[in-house]
Amino acid sequence: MPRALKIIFGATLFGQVVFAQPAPPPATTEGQGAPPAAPPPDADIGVKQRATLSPQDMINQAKIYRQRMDATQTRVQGQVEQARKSKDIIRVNCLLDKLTQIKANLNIVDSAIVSLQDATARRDEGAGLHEYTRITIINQKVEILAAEAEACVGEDLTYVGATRIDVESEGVPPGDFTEPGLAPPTFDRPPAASPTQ
Amino acid sequence: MIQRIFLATLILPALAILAGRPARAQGMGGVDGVSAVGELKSPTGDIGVRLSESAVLHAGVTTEVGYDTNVFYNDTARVSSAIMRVLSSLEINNHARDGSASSSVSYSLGASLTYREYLNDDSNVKAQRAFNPSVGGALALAPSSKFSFGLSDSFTRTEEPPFGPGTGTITRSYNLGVAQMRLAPGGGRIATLLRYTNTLDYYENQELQYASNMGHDLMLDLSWKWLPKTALYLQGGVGWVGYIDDLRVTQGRTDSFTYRVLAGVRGLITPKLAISLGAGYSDASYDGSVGGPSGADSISGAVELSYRLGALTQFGLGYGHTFRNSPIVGTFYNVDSVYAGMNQLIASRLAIGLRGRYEYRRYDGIQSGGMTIERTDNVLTVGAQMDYFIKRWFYAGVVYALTFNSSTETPATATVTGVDYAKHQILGRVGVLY
Repeated sequence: MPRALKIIFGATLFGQVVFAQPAPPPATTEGQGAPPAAPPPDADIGVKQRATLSPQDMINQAKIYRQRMDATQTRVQGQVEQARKSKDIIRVNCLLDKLTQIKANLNIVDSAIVSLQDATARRDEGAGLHEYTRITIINQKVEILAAEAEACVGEDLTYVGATRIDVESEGVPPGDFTEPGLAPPTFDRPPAASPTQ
Repeated sequence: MIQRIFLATLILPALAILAGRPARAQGMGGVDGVSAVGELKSPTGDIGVRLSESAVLHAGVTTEVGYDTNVFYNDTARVSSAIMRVLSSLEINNHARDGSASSSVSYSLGASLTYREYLNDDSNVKAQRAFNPSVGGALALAPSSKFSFGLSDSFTRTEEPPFGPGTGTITRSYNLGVAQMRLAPGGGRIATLLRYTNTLDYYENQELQYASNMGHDLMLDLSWKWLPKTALYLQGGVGWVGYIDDLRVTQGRTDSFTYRVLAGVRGLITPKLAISLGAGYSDASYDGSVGGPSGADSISGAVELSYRLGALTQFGLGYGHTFRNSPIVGTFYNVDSVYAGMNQLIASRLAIGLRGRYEYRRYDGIQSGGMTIERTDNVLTVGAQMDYFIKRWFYAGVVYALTFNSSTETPATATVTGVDYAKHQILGRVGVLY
């Protein structure tokens, strides 16, 4: 084998082995004694630039969100009424705060839905996507507010109330045994009697 | 399950009061001599149809079939027969699942109907077929607060066999209304209870119409809890009984005014033993020249002991001495009564109840043929029931009732029939109560 051909053959074989070795760690700017940094976790940092929904689907989904928000508002309203009935002013205030925020978000959603419909009519895909994104975010905010409303606590946890002393003795049954009972009724069978008795 | 069945069996008297039924509640395990037969259980426990956030509807039907040894309560003309009864009930209340009343407003509305059919070819016996309805309601405002108010009313119409074989019935309407208010200021050591009771006892059949009467009673009870579960009390009351039928004059019925003062102790004396002890003076003033109780007869008193062995066993025993107005025979009678009762729950499913009452009645004011008649009656009632709860809302069992009366007259007139009798009733039953 000519010498030139041997060199080419050898370079082909060993060259591939060298390129297949793992790459050396990247040089760090820290001191030589510092351990090498761990590789960063996998993360999807991509941003979807386009919705996978069609404009009509976005409108439909926005309406569904709106209905959910309506139901949430009704539920919190019911909680407010219940707290009012039990005269739990602390819980009423907490719930009213959440309800006010929910109503404000509903107003925003209403205008966003109108804008979304306008954008769809104009075939303005960018504006439509923007409005849809707003609606989605507001829906999430309302859900958070609903969860916070559920967590509103009342007087029983925050207000100790008047001092009351209950004495419990071991083995003594509960209940009040000092109440007078009703007199026994005389609703029994009438006695037999002669006409003159 | 234990609690549900036990409550259904034991707390009947207390719930009956809430429902406006004529029954007695005496703290822990009040007992009485009411026959077990014919009683519907009170709805408690995890049953009922929820109508709203607080209202629960209960309905129940029980069918009883058995034997009656003395249909007409008459030993001289004893007639026995098979008997069938259907007891139905409907009730709406806002009580908790354990039967306890609401702390703010508690109400109960109920109705029941008992259908009785004698399975016999005798026309007199068959004529005792009856529909006995009952309605009642109760309202309690803030029952556990310093000031509470309660109202209740119950109405019952009954048709009972006559005093001897015949096709007639003793038809009677009875209404009991109660209004009361309770004031327990401060820590509740001192409590005041003011109670008004109105009764209407109306007989529809001609021969007993003269006995129809209306009663009013006003009671004031002052109690001082000298121990957390025990109170000393002072009780006073006035009452009036008036006859409402035109026949009252010809039958010598006279209105009466009653008054009484009673003092005693109520409550626990040990963790398991409760007592109700009271003694005092009671008397009555009758219109005209008719005399009322006098001497030792004016001393009234009662003692009742209730012992709770455990959560599933309860005993009660009591004695009382007093006088009662007598609308039908004489003017009044002095009575000594002894009563006892027991309730037991076994294996969470088998509920057993026993109760009995004996009364020794001494009538006063009986005139016959220009002579004064002395009459004494020995009245005994015994009831027993045993129910097995197949499901929490479905039970089967047996009930037994004895009604006994033995009467003596001095001098003997022999003009009255149906005063001596022993009546046994034993019935098997199945029922649902939801």
